[in-house]
Amino acid sequence: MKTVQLAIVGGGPAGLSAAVEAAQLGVSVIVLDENPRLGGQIYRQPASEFGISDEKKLGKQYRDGKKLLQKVAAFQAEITIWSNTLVWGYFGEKELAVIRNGRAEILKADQIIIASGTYDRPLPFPGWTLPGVFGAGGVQVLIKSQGVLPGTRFLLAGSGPLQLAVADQLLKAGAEIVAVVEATSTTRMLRYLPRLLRQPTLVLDGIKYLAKLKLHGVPYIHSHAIIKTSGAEEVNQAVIAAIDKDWQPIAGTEKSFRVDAVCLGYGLVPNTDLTRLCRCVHHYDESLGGWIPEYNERMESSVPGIFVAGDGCGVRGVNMAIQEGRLAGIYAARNLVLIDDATANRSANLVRAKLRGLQKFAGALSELYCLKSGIYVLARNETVICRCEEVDLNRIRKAIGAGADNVDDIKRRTRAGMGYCQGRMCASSILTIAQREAHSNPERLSYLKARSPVKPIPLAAFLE
Amino acid sequence: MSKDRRISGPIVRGEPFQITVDGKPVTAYAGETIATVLLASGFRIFRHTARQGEPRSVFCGIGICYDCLVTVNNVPNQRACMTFAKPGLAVIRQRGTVEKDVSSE
Amino acid sequence: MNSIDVVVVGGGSIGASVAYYLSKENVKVRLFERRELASEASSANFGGVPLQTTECPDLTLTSARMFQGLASELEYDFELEYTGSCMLMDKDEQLPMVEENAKRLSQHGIKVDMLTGKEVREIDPDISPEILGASRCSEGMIINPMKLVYGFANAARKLGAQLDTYTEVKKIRSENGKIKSVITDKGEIDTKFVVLATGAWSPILGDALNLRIPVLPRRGQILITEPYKLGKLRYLLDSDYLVTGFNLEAVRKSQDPRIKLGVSSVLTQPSNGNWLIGTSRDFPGYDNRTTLETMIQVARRSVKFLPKLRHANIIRAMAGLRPFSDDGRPIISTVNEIEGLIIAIGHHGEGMVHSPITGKLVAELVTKGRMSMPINEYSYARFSPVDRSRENAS
Repeated sequence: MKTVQLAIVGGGPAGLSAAVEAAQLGVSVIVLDENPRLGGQIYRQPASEFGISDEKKLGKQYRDGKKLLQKVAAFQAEITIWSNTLVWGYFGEKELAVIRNGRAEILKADQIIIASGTYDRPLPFPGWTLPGVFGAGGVQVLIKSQGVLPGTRFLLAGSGPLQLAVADQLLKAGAEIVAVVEATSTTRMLRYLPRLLRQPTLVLDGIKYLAKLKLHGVPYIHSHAIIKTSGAEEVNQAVIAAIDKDWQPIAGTEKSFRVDAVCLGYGLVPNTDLTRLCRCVHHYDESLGGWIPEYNERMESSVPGIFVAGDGCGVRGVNMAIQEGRLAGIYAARNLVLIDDATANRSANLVRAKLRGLQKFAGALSELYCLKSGIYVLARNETVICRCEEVDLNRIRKAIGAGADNVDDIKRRTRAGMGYCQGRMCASSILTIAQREAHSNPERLSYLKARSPVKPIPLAAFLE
Repeated sequence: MSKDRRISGPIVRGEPFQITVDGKPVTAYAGETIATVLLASGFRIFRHTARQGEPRSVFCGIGICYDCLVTVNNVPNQRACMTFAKPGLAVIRQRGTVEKDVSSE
Repeated sequence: MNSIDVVVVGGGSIGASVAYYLSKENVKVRLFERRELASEASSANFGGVPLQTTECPDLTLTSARMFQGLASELEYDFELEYTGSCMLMDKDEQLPMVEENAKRLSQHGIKVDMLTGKEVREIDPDISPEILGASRCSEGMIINPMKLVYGFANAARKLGAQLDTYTEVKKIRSENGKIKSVITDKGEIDTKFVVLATGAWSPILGDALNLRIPVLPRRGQILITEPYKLGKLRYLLDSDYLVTGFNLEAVRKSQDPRIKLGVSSVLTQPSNGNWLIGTSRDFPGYDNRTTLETMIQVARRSVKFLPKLRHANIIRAMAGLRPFSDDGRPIISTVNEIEGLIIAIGHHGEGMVHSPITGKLVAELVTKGRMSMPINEYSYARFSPVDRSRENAS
């Protein structure tokens, strides 16, 4: 069994910033990531086999990511990278179960930082499983790090600035966009604008993206949402409609588009499988993505020695992820008694000042674009909710009608959540739908029980 | 619509090689995932589901949703978005969850 | 304060069955479950009805036969499949044990056939070439255990029972040697009868009554694979089960890490195609987490029987706490010390198969004061020493 002072789960901006900060303070670190290259989602790097003709064309995030990776590389002695490594379990005593080279291994750490990020919120509506309907994050990965366009004629639907960035990437790659559909209203946006202006560069970026859309003749439609897609074996039509304050569609406002790809950007869901498995205390905050782990001013979770940082503990963007990672790195070093309280607090206070500066903007953004549960009325009885087990809304409703008001209970009765993705594509929908239809609340509904393995693993990994 | 949807620049690809998809030869490049190769070559539909026979493809693109499952070199249920193309790889698009042919052992 | 005929504590397979059979006899039932129905051991098992591995052949056979027609009686499909069960041998030394078990079972009316390794593989070519032989019971079956619980619960409700989930019974009160009430986290309910169906958690409630309830939580772990095409034999048992299940002494003495964790294979494949791979037996207190060592042993042992599983992906795992009584047999009886208390626990690995008969016998105890089966061997009084004391009303 390998031991290390600090294990960091997740090689994105939060995890890598934590690694650098901790390494600077003398901590020996192992960063674990499932992918072959570091960067997570937002700093995802193109495959190492590719060449790059013009780095400038890869965008600011690629460059920022590269800079951070260079910082990591500067600490070769302190930071070890375990790529292609899946963290699948936690068995107490700070022992992480991993799969490396097809074998199950245990990594025992003194301190752990969990920075596992997020994934696109799955939003069920008629036709959402059709080939050609993608999550915005997936489209970004395909364009930025694989150099492939997953379609030619796109509709983008969602809420928040991520869509604008994806639209920009699509246009640069030569795709046609029929419309970008934004759920929030212009009124709401204007109301939040003063708070958003705390980060003028980010607002300016947004304006630049909007100007680009205008230039390309791409309609940017507020207060609308996608309501269905259709096609025989792949998507060829998308329908949008105006929505009210609760994001429920307004009858008679439907507009149809011919498309061959749809990009959904309805927010991000934090990966909390590992933090729940470690029995960290969580609370529910819709504006930050749903269930998120609690943490103190040191970024330590309710379990001593387990820290959290980044979007995985609440969706607030890359800038906050970096600073939180640094904070976690500082206090992991403090727990390891490599620095004393005074030193830790001194460095931490500088980071906290930065966080305070970012907090107001991030808070305003999350509030502005917070998902309204009315959008879940889009799903019909025949709409698949659990993609893996093909469980439709009708079965979920039957379970709720039989008295189930807990996500696990609904899972037992319907098989929703029993497939490969282990509920990642359906648990948040089940929770929100049950909240509305069973008049329940997140505390009662809870979530799917976290159990090792938190990702599918080959049985062969246990064999000799 | 089998137009190659690879984006030219800023990514520079090396020498092309061949993999097969449902027995047909298809061009691939080092660094590409099977999902990329399929999407670039006009293979939108990756599989059909076990119960309802519904078509599925890439959805989340980051290895979370397990919708993009294909059989690679006889090993079924591999995530196309997380598996990298190599020369001579044989990809089969599956119906449901296909059991590995153990008679070859 | 409400008055009710019988309070049932515990919403697993036993509690739900008791609620149903009592309601059938027009008894007014109120069931309290502190979480959801089937949230503990009843949802962490194979759903296997293993006639071959029973310690209580009479109870088991009677109960297993009650499954015929139960789905239409309850008007609820709990996915019953008569798969038969097949106990496989991988070592010569297992043969005498398996043959003796087969003989014992047939004396009680459970028919078991012996097969050679060749015969087993003729039925199912996926069975390992290393298997020397098997004993097969064609009456074995698998069900969806959660749906059995929901089936009983639904039917009980239709007959007038009130089932309250998220309501915890904190204490059972007796006065002058008689049941008086139960205290829940939502109030006190007067009653003359309480049926304790709280499985491994029974000692906690027994303490308040000054009763020693001799069950311990015994954990079992199961790995679940992705769906496969359905095999020919879908309920496989490891002959070592006869050791790990019942021979605590042998387990304690063994040097084999697998036996020490109580790991012997049980492999079931319900119709949705996932293989459930288990199982284990250890005493971890109330810890129902899965553990790495057990997962490793379970995985390694399983490929001895079904080599094709070495290509499987494990998509989830679960662990449940079985109630293991001091002698491994259920406790279905009244309690001499307290009038009105009935204990229905300790089913340990046969909680699903024993649920119909337990429900029926408890209903007989309540309505007639005696049971139609002579089961003194399942009485509470067989354990000694037993604390006796009178509870004073608090």
